[in-house]
Amino acid sequence: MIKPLVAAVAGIGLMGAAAGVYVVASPGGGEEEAVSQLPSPTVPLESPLPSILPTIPADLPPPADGYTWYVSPPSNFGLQRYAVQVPLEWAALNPGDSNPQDFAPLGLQNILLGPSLTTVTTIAAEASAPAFRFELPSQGGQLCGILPSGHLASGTYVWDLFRFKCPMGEPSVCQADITSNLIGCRSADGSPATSTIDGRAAEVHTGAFFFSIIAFDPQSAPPPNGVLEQAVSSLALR
Amino acid sequence: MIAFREMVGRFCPSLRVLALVGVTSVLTIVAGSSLKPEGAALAAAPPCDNYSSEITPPENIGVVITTFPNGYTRTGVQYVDFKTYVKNVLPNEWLPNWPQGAYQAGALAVKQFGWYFVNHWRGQTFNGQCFHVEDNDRDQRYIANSQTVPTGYAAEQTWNWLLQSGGKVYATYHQAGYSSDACGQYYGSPRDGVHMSQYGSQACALANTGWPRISVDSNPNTGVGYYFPNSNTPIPAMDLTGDHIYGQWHGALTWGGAPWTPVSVSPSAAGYSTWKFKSTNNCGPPSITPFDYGLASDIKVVGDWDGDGSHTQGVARLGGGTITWYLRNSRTAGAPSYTAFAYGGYGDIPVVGDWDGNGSWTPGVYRNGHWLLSNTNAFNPNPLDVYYGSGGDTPEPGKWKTSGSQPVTIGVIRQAASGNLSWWLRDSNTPGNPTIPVFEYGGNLDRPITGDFIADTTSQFGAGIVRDDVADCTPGTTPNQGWYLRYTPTPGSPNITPFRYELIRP
Repeated sequence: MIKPLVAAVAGIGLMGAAAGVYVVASPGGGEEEAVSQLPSPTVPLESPLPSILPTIPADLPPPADGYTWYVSPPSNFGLQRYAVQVPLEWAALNPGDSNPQDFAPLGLQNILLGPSLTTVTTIAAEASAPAFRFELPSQGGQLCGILPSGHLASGTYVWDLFRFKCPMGEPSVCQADITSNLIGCRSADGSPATSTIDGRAAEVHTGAFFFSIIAFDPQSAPPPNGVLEQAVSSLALR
Repeated sequence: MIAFREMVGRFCPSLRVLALVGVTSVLTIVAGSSLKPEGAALAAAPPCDNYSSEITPPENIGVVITTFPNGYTRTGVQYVDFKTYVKNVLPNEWLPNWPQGAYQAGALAVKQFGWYFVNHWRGQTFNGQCFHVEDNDRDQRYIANSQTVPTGYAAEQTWNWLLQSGGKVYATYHQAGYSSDACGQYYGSPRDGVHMSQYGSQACALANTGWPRISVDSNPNTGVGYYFPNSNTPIPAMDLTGDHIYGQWHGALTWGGAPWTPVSVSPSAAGYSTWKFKSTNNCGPPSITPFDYGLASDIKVVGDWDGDGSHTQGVARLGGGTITWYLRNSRTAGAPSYTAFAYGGYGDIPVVGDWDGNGSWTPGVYRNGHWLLSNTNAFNPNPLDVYYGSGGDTPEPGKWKTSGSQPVTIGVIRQAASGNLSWWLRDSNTPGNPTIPVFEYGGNLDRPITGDFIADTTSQFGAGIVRDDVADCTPGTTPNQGWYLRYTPTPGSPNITPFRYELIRP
């Protein structure tokens, strides 16, 4: 596993120490003032995406076409803050400083019926890699097959990539075979399971936290190309 | 093996009659005390990273409520009384109408899983609140007020037990498994030491296997213990190293003379068992200055080891596949009075009694309906083997006859069809039917206890229960363990005014 290349990068406070201009949702006056000087919102204020910030924090570049920034609100619990780009027409499903946070197309409430993205910060001292498994069904993906699928260098981070497959709706279990690089799912009679959900994940260990992005990619509703990649490449821990 | 099965069949009709006779008094007991009100299940919002104990279960757990099974969208956080949480998870993970042995193994698994994630907050938050677990299959399925009678009973019967690996609580993963799973199988494969198959636990219980053996059984050849590592175990994994044992974080016992009175054993801050002997059956502090003896996770026993008429403490400790006994002849801290000896193995429940009536109390174990009784406080390869009871029963030995000196003999508690505690007692250490008319005493949320609670000319033990009570006994303290004691092994109201003594839970 490749660990983060840079633990302390100028201008990026990994522990959220620099609450600075990007605390858009903060009631603090100074921060609001900084935000108010930003360009017009990417998403109209009456947007049905209440949890995705309607303004671009000063230190973030404009999002890619079709995407918008989600900036996690300040945490009362000392958790890592972050900003990440998600599709413009997707909604954050949970209000406030929710960790994990789920994103899905408007109207979709079940992320497993996706496509969807989940971002999560996990306290590294309380988990082992891959920590994203806690966001999988079956008690942290105990019935899922998980395979590493390489690494992705993006900015100051080198992400561990994974793909996974989990059983859905029938008594079956998936197992990963590292040798063949295949994930098989079998039912009680030994036949291949017919109902599964696929997904991919990226995870980086930064200081005291794992930061993970999970994409559920059900075959019935594959995601737009590059959603996970855009989230990973845009991530800015704050 | 046949004797008890026959006994059950023969006693079913009379059990119903006796149950009816006992119902009135049982209900009196249940109604006469104040169980923790339902409204108390929701506790104030605490931080989520301020509790960690490998011995004492947490008081509360933060549960995020989601739209599951229609997704994982979160709708709110509840801080739930931890025992209430366990009781409202178990019926949603283990299917209805399964044997008690499966429910009890499940109760332990559910408790340990939640406990582990209170100890190890992963950082989950929702809208300004933190939580430890989700109410869905990412963790354990929790539905408020879904508790059932048999699953509540199972949670109570196993509440003072715990599982540890290398001295630490670990995450006891459990999945449905295949409905075809045999005892010890997990999704058609041999158990892996990490996961319990719920269907597999059912198969175990149907084969008369009790929760200790379903959970932790170290026998490499015949073991079925789902959480005991074996060649299939994918370790070293986090918190799975070290010997896998079960033990007790708390003890509620009795001791005599006559009348017999309570002993409460709780964990000390230093990791020992603190013994609190009391000499009267009423509210008040311990009669003997509390002292430490044994580790906090040891299984606690009380008996008259040297036959001098004085009951003293002992502990049984799992390690290396066997149970080792440390018995002391004085109600003080100090070294064991006997050379520590091995008796019993993983999967057994330690019991003690004066099995031969010579005045000296000695060890025994309850193993899936077998009583293996030894008459010496030393290793004994040839114990008396009596088959009486089933794997889902709780062993409750005592002196059941009305007259004369007598040995301690076998007895079991099981859940009656009414949900109440049903007492099946026999006055000899031989297989057969109950010699005491089967009766009910205590509700499904009570824990049985026995002793000679009256100073009279007989040594007969009475029925008793302890239960969670709300009211304080002494102003300024928070004892919440209620004691409800009868003089005889019969149904009825308590002969002793119910009183509260010491904590049974955090």
